[in-house]
Amino acid sequence: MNTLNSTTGMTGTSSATGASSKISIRHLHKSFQVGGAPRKVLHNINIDIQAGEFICFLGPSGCGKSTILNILSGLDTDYEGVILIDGKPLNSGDYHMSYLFQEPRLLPWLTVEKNIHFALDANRVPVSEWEERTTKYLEMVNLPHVRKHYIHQLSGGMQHRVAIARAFAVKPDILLMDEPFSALDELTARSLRQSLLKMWQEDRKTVLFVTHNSMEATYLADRIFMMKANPGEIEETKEIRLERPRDYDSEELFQENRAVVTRFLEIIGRDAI
Amino acid sequence: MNVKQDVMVSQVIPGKVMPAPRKRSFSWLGGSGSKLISLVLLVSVWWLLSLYLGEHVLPSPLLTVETLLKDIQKGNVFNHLGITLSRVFLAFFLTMIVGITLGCLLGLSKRFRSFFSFWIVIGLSIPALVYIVVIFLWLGLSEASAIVATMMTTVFTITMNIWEGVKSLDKKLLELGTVLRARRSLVIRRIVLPQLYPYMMASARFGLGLTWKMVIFVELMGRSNGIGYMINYWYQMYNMSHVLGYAFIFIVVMLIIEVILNVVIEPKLFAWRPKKA
Ligand SMILES: Nc1ncnc2c1ncn2[C@@H]1O[C@H](COP(=O)(O)OP(=O)(O)OP(=O)(O)O)[C@@H](O)[C@H]1O
Ligand SMILES: [Mg+2]
Repeated sequence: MNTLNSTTGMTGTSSATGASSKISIRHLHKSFQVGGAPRKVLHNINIDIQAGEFICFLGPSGCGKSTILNILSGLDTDYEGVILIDGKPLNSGDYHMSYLFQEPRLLPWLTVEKNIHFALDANRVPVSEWEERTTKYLEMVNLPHVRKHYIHQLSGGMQHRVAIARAFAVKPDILLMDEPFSALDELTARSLRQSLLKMWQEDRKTVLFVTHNSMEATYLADRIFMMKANPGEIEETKEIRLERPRDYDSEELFQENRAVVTRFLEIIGRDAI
Repeated sequence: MNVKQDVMVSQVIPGKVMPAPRKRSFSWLGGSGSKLISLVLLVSVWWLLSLYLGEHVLPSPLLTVETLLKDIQKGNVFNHLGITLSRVFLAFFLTMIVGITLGCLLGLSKRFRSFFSFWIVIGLSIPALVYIVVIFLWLGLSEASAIVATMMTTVFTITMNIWEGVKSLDKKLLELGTVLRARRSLVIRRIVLPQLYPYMMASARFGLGLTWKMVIFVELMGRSNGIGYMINYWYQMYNMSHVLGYAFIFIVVMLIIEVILNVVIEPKLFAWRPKKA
């Protein structure tokens, strides 16, 4: 239990490890070809995200949240619009990015520590740092004892936690997370949300976090981008001004969540009409 | 032996070998009692048959080993064995390299695939005997043609098998490599190759098994040394005990090599897999 005294704002103080990155998205449009005809999935997305900010995307299924992350991660290069990371075009800058997929995507032929080493190796982290980082981040997700385990020897929740440790171990400037906790039971999800915030408050990456769950978004985010579907658009940006560390069961969070849900239902409802 | 050969033949026909079954074959060499009894039984059946058919048709195990020992004393068995083994390994090695390369190209390059996949299918359907005869006719009765002929009989099956492996590469894990901006060599070493190992292992086991049988055949048709040649030589002399003696030592050596492949190398490669209950 660290005593964390950072407030709602962004960057500012901390960052023992250096950089996080600023993201700016201008006029992002995206269509998929479905049966020969283009189908518009994202319409005119314009976002500015501060370095070190924790952003949640909240939107109905199929509104294009994963598509946004896929584009930002560089996996999907077929889009219109301009994306700048620290002022430079996507993929050209010298930033590190981690993408925590909805599934853990660990390499089953490697042990837990080798999985983390793989990510460090890919990011050209000097070998001398591997040991220390592996230990640190496995401890953060509360799994120091499974270093030598193969992936099939872990439970589903443990695998997610390893994936989180891996994502953090590379000390990314930007961390993309696609519903990382939605497949987990509520207790595990809660403890992971806590570890996530703890790590974020230490390192202050820029985090883009996709979720269906308004409570989760309210608990985690500095700002929530609420989306509607068909085509996907950002309908509203809601700033969450609660103090950190936040308490999942507190009255303020509950109230704030109610406001978020009300607004969100309006957006989806309008969309449905 | 025959049963095993049938299995292999049935694997040839569809043009691909399934990835290595996790079960270890040759566990009977582990020395458990019932396996030993089964071995003794096999030798007794051989012996009884030889009594029934007569030593000139089927020499007894004892006579076979005796003849073999005499041949060894004369000093040319190991010569021929060495020659055959080097052919086997050269052909096997080249086959694996060519097969893996072709398989990867087919799996990765659309242009290569659309142009050449038909060739592979044709290549697969040509009988081994045709390859051997045609290549000896074209290239002469040389060492090179022996190797090439052997390769041709096996390489397309290996190719198909590796292609299958490349096709089934997990796209999501490849994406992981992209997102982490892993350099190419690391992606190949950590993401691609581990997924291909089962296919390579199955191919190697299958390829070696077929190669050593084919080399014998090729030697018989167009070489003047090696185990295959000697078997044919003694066959012409109608001397079964020498035929069996040569066959015997070669089979034993190849079995030992296969055991090493199965028991020593494979478990190391697949240590990460869940142990089957
Ligand atoms: N490869 C594709 N080809 C065609 N359409 C696609 C493709 N991928 C996604 N889509 C469409 O794009 C839309 C957005 O998909 P996306 O996966 O981004 O949704 P999402 O917001 O992440 O939804 P969920 O919350 O259910 O994960 C969906 O309507 C989907 O049908
Ligand atoms: Mg999604």
